[in-house]
Amino acid sequence: MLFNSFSFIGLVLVTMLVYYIPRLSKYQVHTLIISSLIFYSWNNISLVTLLLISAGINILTSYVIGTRKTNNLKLIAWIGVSSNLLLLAFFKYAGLISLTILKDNSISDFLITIPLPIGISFFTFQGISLVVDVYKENHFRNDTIIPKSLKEHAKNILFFISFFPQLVAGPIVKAHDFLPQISIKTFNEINWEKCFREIVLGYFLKIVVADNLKDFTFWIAYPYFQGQDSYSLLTMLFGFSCQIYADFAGYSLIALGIARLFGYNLNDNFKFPYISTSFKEFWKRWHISLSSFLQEYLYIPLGGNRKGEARTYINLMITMALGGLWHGAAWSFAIWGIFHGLALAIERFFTKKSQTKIIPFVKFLKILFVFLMVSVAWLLFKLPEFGHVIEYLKSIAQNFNKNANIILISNILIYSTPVALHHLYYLYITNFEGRIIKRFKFALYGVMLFLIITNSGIPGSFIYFQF
Amino acid sequence: MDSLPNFYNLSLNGQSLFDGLTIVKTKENAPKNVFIEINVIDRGEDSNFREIISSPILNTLKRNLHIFRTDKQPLAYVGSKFVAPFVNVCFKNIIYKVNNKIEYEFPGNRLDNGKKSRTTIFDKMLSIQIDRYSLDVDTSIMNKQFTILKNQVEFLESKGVKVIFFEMPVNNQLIHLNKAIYLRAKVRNDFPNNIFIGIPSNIETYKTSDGVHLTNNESNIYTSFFKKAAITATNK
Repeated sequence: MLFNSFSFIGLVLVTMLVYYIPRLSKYQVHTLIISSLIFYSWNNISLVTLLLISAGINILTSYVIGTRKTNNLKLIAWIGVSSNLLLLAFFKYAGLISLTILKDNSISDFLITIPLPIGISFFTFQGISLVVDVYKENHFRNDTIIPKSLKEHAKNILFFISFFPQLVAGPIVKAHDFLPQISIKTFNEINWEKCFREIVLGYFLKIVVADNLKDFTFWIAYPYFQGQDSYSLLTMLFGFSCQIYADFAGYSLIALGIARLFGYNLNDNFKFPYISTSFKEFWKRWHISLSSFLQEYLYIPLGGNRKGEARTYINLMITMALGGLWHGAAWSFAIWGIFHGLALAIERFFTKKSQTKIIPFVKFLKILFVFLMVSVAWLLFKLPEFGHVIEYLKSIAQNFNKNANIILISNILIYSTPVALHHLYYLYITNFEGRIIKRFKFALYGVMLFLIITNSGIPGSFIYFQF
Repeated sequence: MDSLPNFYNLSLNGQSLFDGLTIVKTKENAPKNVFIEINVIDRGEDSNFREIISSPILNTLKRNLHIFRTDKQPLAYVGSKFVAPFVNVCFKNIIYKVNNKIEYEFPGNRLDNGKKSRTTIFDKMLSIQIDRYSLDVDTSIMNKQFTILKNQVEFLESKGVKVIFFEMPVNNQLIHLNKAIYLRAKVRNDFPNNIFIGIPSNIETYKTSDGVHLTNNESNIYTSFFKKAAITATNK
């Protein structure tokens, strides 16, 4: 069920109606669970079984640990985490492993046909977060979060795993951020202004910017891009960066806004990533829920930066490579992760050597450089074969003698402008001009609402659905 | 479509014949004749497209308020009126006038200007198509598609529509490969009572830009051929 479909809007409205009936307030969590299962099963009801199995594993392991039903807490935690990873590995990476190791045989033929359940990368990570948080008790005491009743606990965890705004494309919600929020909510508590802003901006980015840009960036496909001129290829590269940001950030904002309608606050997932002056800063601004998950549950347990310089770089590379592979079952995603890992490592090395203050012009150049490198890396998302990425870059260098595709360039520029303005506004918000714009923010939201109604593109799936 | 008056081209870019049939089914007045291209029968229906076409709200809005149509949308309008001319001016001094922008194919795969880089692109595209056309046909998928097609054709014929099939000309190296042979035979077998307009007898002279898409010149030549064949078919 797409966020920009009438069926989704209908589901949200009906759910809200039932959710806030005072007499049914003690069934609020049940209402959201039912809506979430309807949402998830809309296109393929059989996938609900997998969601329930995943939830079941996490319910049992977290309950046993949380209520100290056994002395082997570490073993149970390992079982919980491993089960989540095994589910993910089987459904997501079996095909890749079989193609790489088993090559062509009947087993690999079978493994390739296993469908990729939508959202599996997100809800298995949430399950891991739950098991680890309950085991370590770093953020909450289990007796305050884990009810004595298994039935009550099962209800809360099924809700946490399946909550529909973030179920299929994030943000990845950590147990310690979400579970303490579970309580009865009232209609008066809704922060309408924040919900409105998040939802309007989210839909604008998704259906006006991303859905229109995808009609022009689809030429980034082998071998068709080889016939395009260099200017169009560069513009498409820029356009695809804006598209992937608008698509994902838009979806995340919608998820935040919808969750807030039901009284649940999810953390921001994007903070204007394309104004980053370094790769380290980029990863504090892009897909924040994933980078903070990897930091907390992978990088730090591996030792982080506490085991010496060499080990720090190794931990960084492992974390980023696995983070890349999380995005998709193809070696191109691992290469993408390694690329970012290398960038972070090199940056870390040179930053340590030089601590000089940077002037604004240099800061601007750094922003451009990081944006350019990140954009080139995005090609691996659009062109899964590494060889095709090289061909794309070669075509940029070689096709300057071709006519520029004015229509394509113009359309990409016009639909990318909101992303650029969005980032510039954030950069200058404290300046005089920024404060002027802030006073007329209401007009901006009016314009966005108008464009959502009149300028939506042909609907496309969220890019991150495939992860 | 001025060369084919009273024809509506529902072969939309990137869509399938089933999407075109979806459009036909939404019309209140059924057409007299429907011509179905068989080349990409294996391409399935686009559910998003069907949702948009059959959406009463979106459809009504687009029909009655032009601002909702893609080319009249506010940003598209601003783009075409202001941004495109500005970009054009910026590029004016550096656009190189290139003759014969589209690569033609000739018998023997030599190209008109002999530049190696263009030969490579065309050969790559043709080799991709040769690979696709040479694959063993997945009969289970094809049977499923043809079953859906049969239902659609029966529905149209029950409304008094005459359904005629035709095969678009492609590169000469493709017409004798697995996929092309299979589709031709399957259509003739499953729709024995329907007229089938085959490829022109002089197919080897037809030029494409990538093995499957006719060049501008060839499109005009084929349109003349199709027009004559269509008139004959509809009068039978």
